[in-house]
Amino acid sequence: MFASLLKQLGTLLISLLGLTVLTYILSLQSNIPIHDYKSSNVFLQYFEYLQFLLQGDWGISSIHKRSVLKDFLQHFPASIELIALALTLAVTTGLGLGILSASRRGGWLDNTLMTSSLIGYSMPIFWWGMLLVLLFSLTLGWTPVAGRLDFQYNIEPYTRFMLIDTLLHHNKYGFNAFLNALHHLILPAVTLSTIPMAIIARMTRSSLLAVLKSEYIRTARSKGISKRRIIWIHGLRNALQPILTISGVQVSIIMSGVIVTEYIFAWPGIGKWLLEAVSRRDFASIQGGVLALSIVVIAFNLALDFLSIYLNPRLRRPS
Amino acid sequence: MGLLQVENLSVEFKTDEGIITAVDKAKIAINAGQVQGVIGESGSGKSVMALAIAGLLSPAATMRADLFNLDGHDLTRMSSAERQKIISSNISIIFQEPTSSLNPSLTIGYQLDETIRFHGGGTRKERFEKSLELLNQVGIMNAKRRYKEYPHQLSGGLNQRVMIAMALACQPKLLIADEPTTALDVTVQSQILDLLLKLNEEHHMALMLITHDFSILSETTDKVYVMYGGQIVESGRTYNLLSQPYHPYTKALLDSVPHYGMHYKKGRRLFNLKGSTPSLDHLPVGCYLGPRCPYANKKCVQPPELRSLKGRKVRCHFPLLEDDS
Repeated sequence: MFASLLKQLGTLLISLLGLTVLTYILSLQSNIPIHDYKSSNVFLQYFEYLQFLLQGDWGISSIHKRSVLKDFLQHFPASIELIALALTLAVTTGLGLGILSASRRGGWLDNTLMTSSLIGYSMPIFWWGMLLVLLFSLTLGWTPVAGRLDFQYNIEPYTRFMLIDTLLHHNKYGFNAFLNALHHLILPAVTLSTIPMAIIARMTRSSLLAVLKSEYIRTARSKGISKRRIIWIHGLRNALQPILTISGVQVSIIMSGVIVTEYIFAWPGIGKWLLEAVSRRDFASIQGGVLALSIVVIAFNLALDFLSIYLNPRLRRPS
Repeated sequence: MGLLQVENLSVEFKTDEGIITAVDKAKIAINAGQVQGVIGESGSGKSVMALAIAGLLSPAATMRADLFNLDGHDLTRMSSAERQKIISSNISIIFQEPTSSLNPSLTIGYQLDETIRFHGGGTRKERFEKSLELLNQVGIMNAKRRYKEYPHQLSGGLNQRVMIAMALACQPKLLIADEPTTALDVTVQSQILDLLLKLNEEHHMALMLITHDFSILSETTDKVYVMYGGQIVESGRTYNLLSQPYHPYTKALLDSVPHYGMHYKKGRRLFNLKGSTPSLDHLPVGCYLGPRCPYANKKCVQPPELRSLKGRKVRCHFPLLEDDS
């Protein structure tokens, strides 16, 4: 098990190295130098660049004249809230719909779900987001059009996670603000989760169906085990591997989707910040944002790899 | 006393090329504690018949039977859920590939424990002790260590023993063994067979051995069914059937097995049946063996019926009687 963990950490280091080379090249494109390098050699400068990064000096934003890392950390919590909710929604609903579909294979429910998932993941996210706003915000008036919180609330940013900050108020006002924040969060999260949800649902269905055909499922049936138990215990556990792999891919899809989603819903997160940086050629912020978002994606995939090693006894304990 | 009576059992698969009959009006009767054998080449329908009896056919298959009595229950007059319940508490089945028949991500112990929970149950401690007892019964050393291990850590022979232990946990009256030794080493094969026969005697558990190897059947079984093209072509007491086959196919099967002490002169060949097994979607007209049969005659274009002959059942227009041989 340790061997495979070490191998994963090795790949992590290599991808981080490649990533920093990329952002280093990006940082060289800036017309205002981002860092003051002592050496004139580009190769040595790269190592100085790494040093700067590790010291937390990610450069100064050319538009805000502030530390890029600080800017990023200020905007990131809003995005994390959105991403976390979207990812949870995508994985839970995707898994659920996939299992439902697989256990009613060939029925009308299966056909309906699979057709709508096909539509779901072929939909451009900006168009889908605007359709949802048109229906739920403008026509039905169920959800707010944009923003993170209504203007009537004034919440002190302790952690910058709105859902936590509101509850830190410990009173009715805080709780109402919490509900209001949640209310604002629903539509963007649904928009962002649609594509990953559809992909996870389809993968769950096909993976589970393949597993349900295997010989050990036949054995389980011969033992007289209930159908529900066969799907949840015997089927899903073995079907999880490809689902986890594809969920890792979904994290990067969500990371790029969050930029568009935040723009549609005027969400004050990392996506909006990064788009602004791109439109105003703020290379320091672009370089920092790309680096930080990529690290998040890599870390997520590493965690998923560990999870799948843990879930697969053949990887965990090689005989 | 009859444990299992099945009459006119047919299994059909719907495919794009039409309906394929994998089992054609099979008739099976097993008494409590009896050991029976089913023999046939691959594709003869023997495994499908076993799955049909154990209620494990895939949804693509349809199964019909005029009579399906199990331990006094008439299974033809039941909902599929009730039927499944009675079958799983009376019949257990083990398969050819023990390692892929066990769930790779659950421990041996978990899978045994789960089986016991669905058949009798008991507290966690009782189930644990029952599991160890079962593992001991099927001759697994270090039962406590094996209990915590996964199927990929065990050899094929050990996994087959685990499968048998799981089958025993259901306390079945009939154990179907579908080519239980085909995937195993020769030395392990005899151990597994001995184990099955020992359990048959100790638990008075009927045994249905499905195989393509006559040498397994000759010493162990009371009665043998020979299958070809989804049909039972001959059945009878093992000793009689092996020493004097009535059906040309049975004879051909026996003649194609090399015997110890047979005189092999240079240039002499082992008997082999010309042609190959017909696929089930292109069965010949009339007798399915017709095109390959050395004794075939004009009459063989008419399908022969299974008929009784000297205490045996034979599906042939021209059975090989004593004076012919």
